[in-house]
Amino acid sequence: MFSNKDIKIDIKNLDLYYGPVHALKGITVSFPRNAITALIGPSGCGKSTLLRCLNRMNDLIENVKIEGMVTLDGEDIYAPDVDVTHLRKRIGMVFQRPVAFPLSIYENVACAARVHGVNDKRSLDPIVEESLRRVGLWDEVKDRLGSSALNLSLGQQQQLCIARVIATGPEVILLDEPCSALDPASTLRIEDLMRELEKRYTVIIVTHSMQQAARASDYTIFMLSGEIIEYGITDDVFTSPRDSRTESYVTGRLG
Amino acid sequence: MEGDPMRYPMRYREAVIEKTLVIVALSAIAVLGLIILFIFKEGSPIMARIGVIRFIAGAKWAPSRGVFGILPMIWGSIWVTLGALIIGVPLGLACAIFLAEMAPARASAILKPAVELLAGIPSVVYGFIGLVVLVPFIRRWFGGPGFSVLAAAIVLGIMILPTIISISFDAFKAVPVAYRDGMLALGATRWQAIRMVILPAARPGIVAAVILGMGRAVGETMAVIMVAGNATKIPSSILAPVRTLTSNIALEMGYAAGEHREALFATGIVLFVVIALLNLTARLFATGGRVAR
Ligand SMILES: Nc1ncnc2c1ncn2[C@@H]1O[C@H](COP(=O)(O)OP(=O)(O)OP(=O)(O)O)[C@@H](O)[C@H]1O
Ligand SMILES: [Mg+2]
Repeated sequence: MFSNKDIKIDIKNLDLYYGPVHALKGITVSFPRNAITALIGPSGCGKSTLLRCLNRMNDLIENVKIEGMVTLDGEDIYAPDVDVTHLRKRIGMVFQRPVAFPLSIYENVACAARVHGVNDKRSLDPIVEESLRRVGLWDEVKDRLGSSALNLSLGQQQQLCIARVIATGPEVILLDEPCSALDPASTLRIEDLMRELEKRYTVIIVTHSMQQAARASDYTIFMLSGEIIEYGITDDVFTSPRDSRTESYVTGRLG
Repeated sequence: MEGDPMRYPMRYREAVIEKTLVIVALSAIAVLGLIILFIFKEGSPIMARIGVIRFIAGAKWAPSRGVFGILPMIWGSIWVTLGALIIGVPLGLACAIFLAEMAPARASAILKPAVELLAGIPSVVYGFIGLVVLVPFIRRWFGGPGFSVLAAAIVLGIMILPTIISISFDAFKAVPVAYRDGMLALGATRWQAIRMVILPAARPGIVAAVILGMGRAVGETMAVIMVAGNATKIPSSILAPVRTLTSNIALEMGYAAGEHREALFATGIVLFVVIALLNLTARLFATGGRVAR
């Protein structure tokens, strides 16, 4: 479907076991560069698990066994000599619930750059400003950068989390149901933001909202109990699905 | 409702249980209140007679000549407590960070109760070990009599470890896992996550741990008496013998009478105020500035 040069992340025959639970079964799929790919499917089908395979957050869970191959720009991310912290700098992740740290707004963004060795204020200031501008939060918070991030609204906190990921200078941004804790207005802001992000980053988003997937993504992957059922251009998946299970899911008759 | 026959016995029993609990709670509080009242009643006359300032700031303690100044003991308590904190806090925090953030879950499930068990060892045992091991060691390698600020600080520093470890461990465990995962997902190492987010988030609990450890150090008596030397002089160095406020009461209570006895109660008042202040600060920090209800 794509030429090699367009592929950012490539997964081949990926199997994942949580102890005895076979959570991902023979996943083979690729994520194109500078595009938004949506992951949809009923609860428990393995969307978050697949996402966490891409930045190796599954390494933190005990008893996980992973087989198969995941490459980023052609390099195996599970190779023994991979520096996981550097991998996670290249592939940033935003969680379902906004995780604003109990620090100032400024420090919430700055800590991401600090992690990767930027420490003096003269270099941090522009990074913080640029990241907050990129997510459209700068004008709202520029006068209270020193106040606690926990006072922001949930929607703003989620924007802040995206700004934080941007501050690490990633190539790929993973979003795991980033809007599920947000109201419709904040949701629209995040979706607009994703369109902006797409220009610079490869974006992968897990969502339970069919409208959101249809509106905000270029490609869609439909999963069911650990397997990929359908993968294609979003319009095709929603208007003329090849598999009957996809059709019943996107029209709301399944899951 | 009132006349409902099925409900009546239930209500009656509840009322009895409730009343009993209230009485038990009130009598416990009453006993504490009486003790405080007693200490103040016995100790305050002499403080008034000598003058609070002269009592607290007086550098000489000579009960046989009717001279009562507890400054040496106040300094003694301060030096010994500070020393205990300098030794106990870094060690305790390091242990708590290791147990809460780095050790495998199974290891910390065994080690944490083991650490808490240390709090149950009678203080005379700590004092005894200090007496037979630490005091001769200090005398041999550092000079002086061995009975010293240093010996007391080391023994107390070890004795407050369980308090500091167990309370700051709980503070670390109360930090949402999402903070740690959020940092790791940014590419942070474990230590960066601890330093940049988990430590600041756990700070109120850590401060409370330190202050409670401090309270324990101020109040500990037996082990200190056994290793501190108990001279009523402001210590000139950490190798000099020292007497704390609590030791002062315990050492002389047996034979004190009259004014002397009153002066010991007055020492108790000073101790009581110090410890009350410490506890209040602990509460303030534990709730992040708001006083706990
Ligand atoms: N840490 C874990 N340990 C054991 N099993 C897990 C773990 N995390 C997920 N699973 C199991 O793996 C399967 C896939 O879970 P996953 O969280 O990836 O689903 P999901 O598609 O993201 O669901 P949702 O839409 O509800 O978020 C589920 O059966 C789940 O119970
Ligand atoms: Mg999920």
